[in-house]
Amino acid sequence: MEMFTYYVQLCIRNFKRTPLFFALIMLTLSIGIGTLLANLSMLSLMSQDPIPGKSDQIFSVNMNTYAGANNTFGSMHTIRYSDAKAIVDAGVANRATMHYATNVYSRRADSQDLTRYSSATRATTASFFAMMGAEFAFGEAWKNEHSNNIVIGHELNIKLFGGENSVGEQLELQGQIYNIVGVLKPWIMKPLFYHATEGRAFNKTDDIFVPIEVAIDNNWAIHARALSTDDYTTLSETRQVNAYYIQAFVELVDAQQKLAFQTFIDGHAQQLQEKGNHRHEVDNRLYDVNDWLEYNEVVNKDLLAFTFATGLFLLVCIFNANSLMLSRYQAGQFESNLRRAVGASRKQVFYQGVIESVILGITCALVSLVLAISLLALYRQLFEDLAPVAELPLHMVVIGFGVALTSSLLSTIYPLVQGARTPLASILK
Amino acid sequence: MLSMKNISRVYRSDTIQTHALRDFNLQVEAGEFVAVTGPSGSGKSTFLNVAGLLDDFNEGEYILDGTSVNGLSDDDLSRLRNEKIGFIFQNYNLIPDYSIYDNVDMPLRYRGLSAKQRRSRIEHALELVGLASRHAYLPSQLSGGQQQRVAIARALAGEPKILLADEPTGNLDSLMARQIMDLLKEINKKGSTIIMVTHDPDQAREVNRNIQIIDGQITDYSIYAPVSKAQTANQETLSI
Repeated sequence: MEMFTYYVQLCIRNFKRTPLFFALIMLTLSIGIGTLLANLSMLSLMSQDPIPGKSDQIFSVNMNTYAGANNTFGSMHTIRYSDAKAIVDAGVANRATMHYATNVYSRRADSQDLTRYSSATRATTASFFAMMGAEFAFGEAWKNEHSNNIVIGHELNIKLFGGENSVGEQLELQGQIYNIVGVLKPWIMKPLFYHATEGRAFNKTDDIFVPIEVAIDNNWAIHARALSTDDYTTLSETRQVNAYYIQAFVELVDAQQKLAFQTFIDGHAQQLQEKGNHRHEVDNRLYDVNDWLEYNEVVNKDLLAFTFATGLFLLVCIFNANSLMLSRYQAGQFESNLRRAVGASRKQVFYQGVIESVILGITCALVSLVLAISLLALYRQLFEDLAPVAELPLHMVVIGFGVALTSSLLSTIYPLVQGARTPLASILK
Repeated sequence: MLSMKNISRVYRSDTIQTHALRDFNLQVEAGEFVAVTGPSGSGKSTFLNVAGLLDDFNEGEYILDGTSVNGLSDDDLSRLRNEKIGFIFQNYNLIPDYSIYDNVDMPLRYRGLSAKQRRSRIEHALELVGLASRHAYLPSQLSGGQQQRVAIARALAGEPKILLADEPTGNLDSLMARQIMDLLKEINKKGSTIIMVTHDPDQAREVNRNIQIIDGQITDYSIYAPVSKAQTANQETLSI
């Protein structure tokens, strides 16, 4: 311990002896690490598993039941109400849900204030919550798919009810009164795999969840990609016509259940084709969560390339720091040799250098974190698309420290080894 | 104290092989003050490097204070250097931005001594060389002779068995050289074994024994003053 303290003292002396030199090395490494860290953080958030433990059991259902003559889309993730309803009602999957995105204006029904908040809304089934891992802070999901019962998210509950238990309270949505039966706990899902298309993979989870049957009955507009081969004037007509706007997800616990479900939807599509409901080859596909995210290219390819480039940039920074350190150790060779001449072993001189390198690495890590946070803030200002993922998650802070220490050690190990090999005899002259 | 038998040190390059030391034999007793002389390139420095465990040798046997150094690891050699040898360099080799105190402290740091033990030894060593009051000075604030005294204090602080001095007065004017020489003789009288490389024949005559090295071999022994029994006895209790 005493030697460790001595090495730290020597390190501080060395820093004081050549402050500009060490500042240059620190900045060289920190800029490289900070830039890489910022990009890695975004990549990390883009490529993380949004629902660990269940991601290989939840599947996006894609079907080719397009009724038009030419289907250039192949298997589609937006399907008809009738197909989605058949999937949910079949009971083949462990759990099944269907949903579409909409948007409503909300206010407390008992509020004197007429301010209404634009609220991202998911029209879905009660099974949605358990399947997606959304936990309730208060209450539960609705029991009746045709009731005016809704679930609200944590943020809206704070906005409208100050975070109190609002179960039993009422909201006015699009001029109608809805009863709150459940309030979710804070729910962050990145990427938002249940709506990974149309560049929404990094949107927040929704503010309001409403029974899909009610949303359709009330003609709540579709806020997502929609296709239709038939005309319709109200959304309730889509229960019968060929309008493709609903996403279906199923939970299949094992390969056997997956096979059973695949057989079911293939059979369903085949029957419809034979009845002349659609005219295309049966091509139904199931994508598990990570495959679905990959299929939708949620990880920004430009960012991937840029991160690779910043990795190379860091290597250049390390080489630069390495050559600086090499010249520094050559300049400091006299002192190292003198220490060895009076009794320090190679190991001790080496450890002293390693301690210096570790302290330099820690300093670099701190500066890198500040740089990375600043860069991410800049990204949020400059690139709207990247804003939702321009954050520094905790695990990246740990990785940042690791990268900084590794970079610092890589910069100093070679000069240290070279220094330890120098013949001692020269010191006498 | 120091025994070298048939030591050879050969430097090899692609085309040239140089025998810096060949069949080198030397026995130095405890308490001796030995001067090593010889022309430039004769092997004096190589001898001092080998004796100080700063350089390897190719053949022969070297025993330092009862320990054979043949085949020792770097850790063992470092420990021997630290515990048994004190170096005094021609250029003093002080770290310029360390205080006198810290310069003397340096070898003791690697000895594993407590802070109290180190302080006691440093103060004692600086007192011995007459610089106790200047412990906070930087080397640049001292004269050449004073800097060499600091180097001697650094060598003595470790309570070594043997002091190796490489032209310790080579960079000093005659007055300062005289003072350093007197100091070394005084230290020797207290029992320290000293081997000193010098170009000055007068200095060589002041010590117990002078050996002359030419072409890597000892060519002449001149004994001027045998080691007294008192010096030998002091060697056993040399502690400053």
